[in-house]
Amino acid sequence: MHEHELESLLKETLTRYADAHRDRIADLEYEIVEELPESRPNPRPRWSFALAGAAAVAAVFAIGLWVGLNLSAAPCSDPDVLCLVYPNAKSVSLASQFTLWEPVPMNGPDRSGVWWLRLPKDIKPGRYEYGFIVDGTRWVYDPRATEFVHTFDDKINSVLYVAPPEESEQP
Amino acid sequence: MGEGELELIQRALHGDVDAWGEIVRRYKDAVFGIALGILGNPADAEDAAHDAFIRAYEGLHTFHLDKRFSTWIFAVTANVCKNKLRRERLFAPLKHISRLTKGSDPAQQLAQQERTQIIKDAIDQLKPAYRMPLVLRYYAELDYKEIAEALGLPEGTVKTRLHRAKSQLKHILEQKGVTGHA
Repeated sequence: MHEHELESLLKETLTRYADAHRDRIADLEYEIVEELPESRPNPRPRWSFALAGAAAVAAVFAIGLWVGLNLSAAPCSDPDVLCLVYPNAKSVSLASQFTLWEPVPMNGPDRSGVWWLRLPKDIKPGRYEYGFIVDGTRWVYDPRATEFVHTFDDKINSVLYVAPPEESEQP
Repeated sequence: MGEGELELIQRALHGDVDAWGEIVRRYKDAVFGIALGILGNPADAEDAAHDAFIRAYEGLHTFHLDKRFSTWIFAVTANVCKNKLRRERLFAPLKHISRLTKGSDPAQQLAQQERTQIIKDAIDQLKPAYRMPLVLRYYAELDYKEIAEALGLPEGTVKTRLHRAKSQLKHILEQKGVTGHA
């Protein structure tokens, strides 16, 4: 038996055998989804700890003992802060219409791998498209955004609405 | 990485279980096939596929987003299977013959079933250390480097094990009179 014949037999057998039993996993995604709310990924509890940590750090800040942003958790519950979970990135920048598409380095990562950037205080109310640049090359949209647009070069931008000072909610 | 896959993973990292459900839908056939190839038993493979997706979700933050997700999920699957084999000592080959195919010609169908079962039994006779790279290579179609990453082995060891696995299989199949032609 030639090697290529053996390889083709192997592939054919493994595929046929799996196909014959595939009905066993017909509903696997539904079973997993039902089970998962009780089994959060590690970043979730760590995120909770992170938010608790952020509150603690804010208290410390209030009494003048702020020890630096990078030691605290990302303040992602703040609506004026944009966040991206990307634990393995070496750098993450934000590029947006309000930065004139110039990349602005984000803070982080915190211990949960979260990168964050606070919106500029003088940002004008309006609609802004934005995205993140990971490691200087990869364009990543913000999965927490509520609106997205396809760009002409087949990328996806997230959309951010900045409300006038008297409004607090995004449309 | 497939279309929208990075975004699904990002959403899953934020705790969106529906996004993870979509990932499961995309990969369940491959993951189940790998588990079945390694474990040799459909019920155990079903459990392993389930465990692999739960474990992968829980450990999703350890996945390097710039790597191929398929390689990572296959590695998680291989590890779940390895632990299952270790825990349950499932080294015995399959004892039953399942109905494998549907065809119009009963005689041809039976012959093909028997042939598939003989080859499957031969694969099951291999040591798990040989069976795992074999399944990842010929079912999941990973290259040597990806198998090495998935199993945590040097690439040279993967090549050696695959070579030995194929030699043993060839020997077993030739003894049973299986040739390369159907």
